[in-house]
Amino acid sequence: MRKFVFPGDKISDRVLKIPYVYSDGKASYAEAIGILDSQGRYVPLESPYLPQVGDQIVGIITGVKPIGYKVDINTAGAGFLHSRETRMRFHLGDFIVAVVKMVDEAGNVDLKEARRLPRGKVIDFPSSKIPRLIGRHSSMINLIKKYAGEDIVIGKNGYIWIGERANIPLFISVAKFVEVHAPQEGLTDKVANMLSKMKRE
Amino acid sequence: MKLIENGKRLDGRGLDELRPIRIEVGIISEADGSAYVEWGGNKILCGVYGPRECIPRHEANPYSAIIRVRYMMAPFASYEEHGRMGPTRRSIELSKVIRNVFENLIVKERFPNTQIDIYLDVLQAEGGTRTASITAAAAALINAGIPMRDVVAGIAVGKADGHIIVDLGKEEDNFGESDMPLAISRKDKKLYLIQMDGLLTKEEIKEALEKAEKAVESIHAKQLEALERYYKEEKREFKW
Repeated sequence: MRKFVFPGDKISDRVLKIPYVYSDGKASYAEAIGILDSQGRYVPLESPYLPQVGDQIVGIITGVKPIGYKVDINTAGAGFLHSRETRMRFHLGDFIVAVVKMVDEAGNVDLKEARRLPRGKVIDFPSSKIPRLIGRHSSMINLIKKYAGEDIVIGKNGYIWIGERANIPLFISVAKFVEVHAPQEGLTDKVANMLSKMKRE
Repeated sequence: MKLIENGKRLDGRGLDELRPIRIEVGIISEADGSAYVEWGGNKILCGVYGPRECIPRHEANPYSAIIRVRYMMAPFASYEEHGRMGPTRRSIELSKVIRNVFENLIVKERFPNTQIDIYLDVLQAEGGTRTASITAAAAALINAGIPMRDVVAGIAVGKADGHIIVDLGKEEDNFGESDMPLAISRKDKKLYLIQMDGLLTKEEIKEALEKAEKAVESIHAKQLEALERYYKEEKREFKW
């Protein structure tokens, strides 16, 4: 049984240390609207991106300085890419894919392993639903890539880069479908149905 | 003027009866979270933005997010002193009391060096806009995914013609004996806002609080139902 939980609803009788959950020492309570599935797992439906070390993210260069680059990574403060982390030179407005190297208590994010992405489009997808778009063992994204083209990079932060060679309108319509139906089960099959129907038309 | 006759109020309500309430969530596609509340004659639009970079920088708190609330009444919202733009004594006070409610509810430590903006616009006013604004802002904050410890809603209780009444309208507020706006949370039934205008005895306050606690449950139910409806709906607006 899946059911909605709202801030303050009890989700477990134990103290859990997972994002968007707080505890009073005895039980755990939700902090955001989410879904509690049959196994008692809590998944927030709506949540600002919280950077974790090792996340692959897509970003946009918003500042070029002698020691590095400011990068918009869909968090409140900009991410920072130090010049020594990369051999490439970036320009304002470049799209990059990078990995989160470090996050500190003040919300500063350092990036590493940056690589430039060619011309294309970056769309802003809700970061809480990115796991649904990737699917178990990347099943969902591999399925979408088969129809829309290989030039797609998904960042954990909710930014998705789509290259010019990929089918951008098709990808956006599929992503919207995934966003709306994210709380449902058997989503990959539904998307497969939808894509094959689209192809026939 | 008589405010209560044969147990009926001016608009035909009973003593404990609320005005009709309608809540919609997620109606502004550019905002991170939004809500629209129609509460009797009150029409309130709320947009929530953030957490985003704190500007000006020197006001940022390295330990928690800061919360800003801007309550504003449209020049056409009502008559008398409400019919003018810009910050007034009243709107500054209301922004402050609403901010205090959410400063105690939001898990601010999660987002250091950031700000969370809550914009409240009263399009039409008929008494009780601060309680309706709190109800709208709570729904919009949940829609924005900002972590909160509890769901909160506002409710006013007061006294008119010697009776304790719930959810005061404009006439009861202006010409009654007392008006006490409250903000009550769902899980703990804690009070996050209590103000009072006029006079009430100790026993009357006790009775009023009991009535408020009972009445607020239906408002919480309306908030949650609006959110559930939004997340179940398949044809909604997208942020991109």
